[in-house]
Amino acid sequence: MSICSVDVPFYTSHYEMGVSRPSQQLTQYVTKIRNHASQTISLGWRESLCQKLMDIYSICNENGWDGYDAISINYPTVYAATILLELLPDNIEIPDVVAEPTGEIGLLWSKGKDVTFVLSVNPNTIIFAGLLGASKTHGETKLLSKLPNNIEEILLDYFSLS
Amino acid sequence: MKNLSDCVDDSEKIGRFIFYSDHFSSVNNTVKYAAFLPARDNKASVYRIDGYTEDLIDELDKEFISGKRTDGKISKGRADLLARQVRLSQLDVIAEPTPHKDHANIEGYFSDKSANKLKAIELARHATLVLHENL
Repeated sequence: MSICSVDVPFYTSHYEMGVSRPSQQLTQYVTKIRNHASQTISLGWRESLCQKLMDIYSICNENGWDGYDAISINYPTVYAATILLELLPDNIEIPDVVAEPTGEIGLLWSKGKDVTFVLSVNPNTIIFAGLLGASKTHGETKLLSKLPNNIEEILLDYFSLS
Repeated sequence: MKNLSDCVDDSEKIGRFIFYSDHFSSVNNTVKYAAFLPARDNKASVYRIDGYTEDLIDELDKEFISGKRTDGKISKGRADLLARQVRLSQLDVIAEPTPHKDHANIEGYFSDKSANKLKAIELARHATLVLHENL
């Protein structure tokens, strides 16, 4: 499922294709699907963060956007961030989305000064770092179709809503 | 202003000027880690601001920091911390008196991005946000 609006995954004509009852029913279904697909799918906080990603892309798509010599945020990185958002567990606190001068996009969770966790993405990689009370963690992993267990555990252990 | 030494003392206050408003939270009065991620040269530019008043910092900004820019960007705020706190994170503050005698760099970042993010988190944790009046 995509956070952003999607195209209907098959060809549909805007002309009515038949006059029979089944044909008209089919036309109605296709119209419903097209209308639904043209809207942003409501996914709560993921949807608002998707808008934030677009804002970041519009501001940070040129080098030096941070006033120093930041690397531009490119569209594949924005897309990777939308994928990462979809992989997050549902019942966690809403992260802050942060443009990074290294050209990545970070998702930031904080609980006071002692608990901070960052998940960053570029088109191929998830980079994570965290200050979790007395312990520290950092590393990299490939961006795949599932969030790695160690990252999911950190999110659920420290930033779960329940 | 007493920063005449080439060596940045542990007790010196340094300030990282922030131009991008999403790198701090004025609501929580906190600096975000990304403000301390290094540039492509693996350094983060700072100023040695011990002994400076806010008015003097404003002058420094207008003349040497925002004022030197050609893209019109102006600093929104500053992340202040002590050089000691940088060194506690196994980084260093090295004087680099260009374009100003009190300019310095945070150096010693790694080639490992995840390790640098952790360092940046640590620095942001110790930093004090100072918002500039032009915000």
